[in-house]
Amino acid sequence: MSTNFFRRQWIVPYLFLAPALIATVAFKLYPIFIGLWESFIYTSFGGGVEKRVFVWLENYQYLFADPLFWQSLKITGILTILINPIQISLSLGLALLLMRKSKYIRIIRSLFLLPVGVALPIATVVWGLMLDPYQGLVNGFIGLFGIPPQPFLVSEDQALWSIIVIATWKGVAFWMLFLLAGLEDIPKQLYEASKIDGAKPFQNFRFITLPLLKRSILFVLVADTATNFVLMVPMIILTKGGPMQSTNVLVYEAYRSGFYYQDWGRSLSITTLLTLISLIIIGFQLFFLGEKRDEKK
Amino acid sequence: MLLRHIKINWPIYAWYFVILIGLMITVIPFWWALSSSFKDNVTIFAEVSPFSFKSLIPGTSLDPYYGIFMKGFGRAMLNTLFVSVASVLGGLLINSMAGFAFAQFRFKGDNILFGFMILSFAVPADAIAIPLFKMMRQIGWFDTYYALIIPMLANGIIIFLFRQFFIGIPKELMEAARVDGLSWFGIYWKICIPLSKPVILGAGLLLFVFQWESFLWPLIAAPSPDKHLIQVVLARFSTEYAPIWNQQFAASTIAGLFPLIFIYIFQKQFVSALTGVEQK
Amino acid sequence: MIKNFIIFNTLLIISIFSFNARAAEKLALVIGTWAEGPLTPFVEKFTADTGIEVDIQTFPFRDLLATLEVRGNAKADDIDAIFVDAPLVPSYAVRGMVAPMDSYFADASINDIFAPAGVSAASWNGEMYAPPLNNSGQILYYNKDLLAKAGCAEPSAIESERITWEEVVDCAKNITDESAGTWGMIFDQVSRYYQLQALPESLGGGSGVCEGGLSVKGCLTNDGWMKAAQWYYDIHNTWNISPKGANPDQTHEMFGAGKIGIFVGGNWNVGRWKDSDLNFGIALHPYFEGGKVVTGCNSWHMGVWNHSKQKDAAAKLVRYLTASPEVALAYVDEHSSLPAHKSGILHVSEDPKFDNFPNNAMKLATYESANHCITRGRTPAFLEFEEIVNTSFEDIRNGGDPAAVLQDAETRIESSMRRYK
Repeated sequence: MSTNFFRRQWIVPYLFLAPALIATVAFKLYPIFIGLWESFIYTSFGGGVEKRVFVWLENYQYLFADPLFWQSLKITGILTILINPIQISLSLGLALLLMRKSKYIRIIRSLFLLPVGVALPIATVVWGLMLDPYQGLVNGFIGLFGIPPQPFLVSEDQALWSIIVIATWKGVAFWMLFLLAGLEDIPKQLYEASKIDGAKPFQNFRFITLPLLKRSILFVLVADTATNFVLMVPMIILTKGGPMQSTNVLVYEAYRSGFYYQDWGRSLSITTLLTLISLIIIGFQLFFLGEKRDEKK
Repeated sequence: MLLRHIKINWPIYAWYFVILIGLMITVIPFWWALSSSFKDNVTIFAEVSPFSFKSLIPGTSLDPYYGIFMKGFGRAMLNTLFVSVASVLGGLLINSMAGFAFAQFRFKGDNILFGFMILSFAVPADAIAIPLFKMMRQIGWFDTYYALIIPMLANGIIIFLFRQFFIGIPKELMEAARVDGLSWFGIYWKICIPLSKPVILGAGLLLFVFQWESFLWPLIAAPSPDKHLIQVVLARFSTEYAPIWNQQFAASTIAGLFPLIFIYIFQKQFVSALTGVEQK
Repeated sequence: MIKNFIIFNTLLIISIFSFNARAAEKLALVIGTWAEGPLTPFVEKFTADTGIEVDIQTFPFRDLLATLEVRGNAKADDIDAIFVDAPLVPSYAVRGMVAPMDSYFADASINDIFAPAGVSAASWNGEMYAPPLNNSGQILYYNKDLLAKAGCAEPSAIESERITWEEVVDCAKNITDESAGTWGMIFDQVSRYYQLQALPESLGGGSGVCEGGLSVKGCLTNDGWMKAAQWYYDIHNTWNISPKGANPDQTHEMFGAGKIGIFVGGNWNVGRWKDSDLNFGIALHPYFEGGKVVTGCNSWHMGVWNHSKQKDAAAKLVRYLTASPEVALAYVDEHSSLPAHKSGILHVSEDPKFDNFPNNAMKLATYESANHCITRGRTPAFLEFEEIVNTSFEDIRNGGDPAAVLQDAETRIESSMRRYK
């Protein structure tokens, strides 16, 4: 019985794993290769005849020669540099604030949790209405303080910031959860011991909190960067990449090229580049700021 | 004495002040939407510019809510419910099975495969949305419920959660069952699953919320009106028809409230599942 | 739990079968949601007469275009007859999405059935691809009270007294009062090519697309276009007579709320306000002093899906719906839709019920469309062209430098046309 038992046994884990594995390979890995392949194909309609030609890197060449691509890259870079530090510092600040023992802390934490349950499209639509240049709540409110109405989403200078506000409103609540969990993991005795030693709050933060929170912060940093890199819902619903291409991030340009112009070669070459760039950025973050990733995600 | 008194209270007031500001920014958009969803449009505009605090007092009319259900919002809710529930069931099944495999067995390539599945979580859905869409068309799943459900089932986080949990189950329990002649699937089904209720709740909620909130993929993969999911319909009230503000808000309130209720009730499990840290 | 699984699987299996269920002989007709009401009775009549069953699928506007794009890309064969947005005819023709229809009209002269504007929009490279279903027209609406208060003369519906854009601007300047929230003028479809094409055309700048449809070089940055762009910038920024921010869904609401003096827009708007308290009048579409008299026009056409397996039957349906006088007349009478069919046009110009306000809006618009229609730029790259032109207008409206924006647009559109050469 034992030899047969063993032979049949080896397949069992694979069977359990099979559905999830097949689904992951089929729907997460394979599309990356499809995207890569399609980015090498150029479709033309000269003379009313559709021709699909394998052009290797030509799509990329045209992309690099297109000023709009560089503009998108620039906007994406600006967004990345601005939004991630803002979101993470606000999340950390909020998490720290919410660590306080107060009798209302449960309710307060639940309230800050609200944006997590509100989907991004909803948040986008509501904020979009709030930021309306003529009839928006925000302009009405700041009017109370004598500030003139701001164009927000219709202004070249303010549109990207407006999107940052929307994404941050939702993002901070979400990432704060992770940091809060990480903070609660830190043993209280450490703080008590340092208090006896007469340490000031700032020293606590620097020598106890930060080092022990490093893993959580790193996770949040990497995940947040990756998420914001492909942020496009507010662009699709509100700004359409404008005004004056000021919110035309790479992922939106890819979306537009594909779904509005049906230019899949261009769309997928941008997507492929995006995936590459985000892998590099994530790699950097892990390398410079992190330890070797073990089982923690 | 007096000075020390002030010194102690100052940080508390400062804390309350900052928290209050934060709360205002967090809650007001939602509150405004909720309040406005019970008013008529003219009132909404009038109370906003010039700004008056009346805009934050809820109205009393249910008309907007009737209106959106007339426009097919109900259908969208049902669709989304169907897709979300199906995803929860399917997702819980295949991910827990995978977690079980990783937890109970040592097999060739197990570490690599595990790392691979976890990493797959890092692939942003929006980046592969376009090629995935082309693939859906190739296999004829475009504009079907299959496309909405199946690609979203395998989930690295959930596999991780289940594995974590299953590792914690005492080996003796399972060995005893083996000796009794129970098959591996029996062990999985009859022992591990019933024990993992908290993970199931948390993971199920994660899956549900994910599908309920998804916008981009349903927009791309299932565009026909009869398959519309709730977020897609919501966004459309804003660009297509005249933006009927109160209806827009009514729809947002319902669409937003739904998952919130579950998240609030199962807060502990949800946060545990999300962060991987046991919540006390 | 197991019960749930059984239910789930059953649902799955049911959905598999329902997905594949389409009766062999049934034609799939893809139209816009707004047309379902008008067309359904005639589709039923078609079925009664010919025995060919038709399955109507409706989509809202944006979804309609998107679904056709996706199906075209996939070369799907599950639809047979479709709605075609007039300016997209060249695009669909070149990309093989609609079938040529000359052979289905061999026994009749197209020019006898449809007005010239519709015919030219229906064809590409000498072949007819999609006959027109209806037309559209642009006229001027004005708020009598606001104009009277500002001391402007009322614009006229008589050709020889047609108002000029210059006169519109002068009047608008007197009306605009930001503290009261009233503005001198607004366009119906702000920052849309369909609405604003009349501006550069009136200044002799052409449609923006060069002859042949495969280039825009020099045609989007010529004198007429530059002047028009500058004018559009001025009304929003220099003279401040038109508000920024409002989108095409909000503009008619603003006029209806009495906040706009002059509204230039589609003839269908009259239906929005005729029963309200608004004291408004209608007049002819403006033109630039010394320039051409032009208005936007064209609407929906119908075509035979090129990948359909039942092209002949589909062509029959398309011909019936577009070329039958009864359909055209019903469209005019019951749905206030501007006709593309000659008998519809005749009906509007001769039937006395169109003589008086507010129905004379139809007559006015029909007159404009029949005589001053400018078709939108004819190019297979229309999707790209229109999207870029629209965003350019919006950018100019929000304060972008007109010359720079147009130049940038021209460069981008030119490179997007590469695929069609």
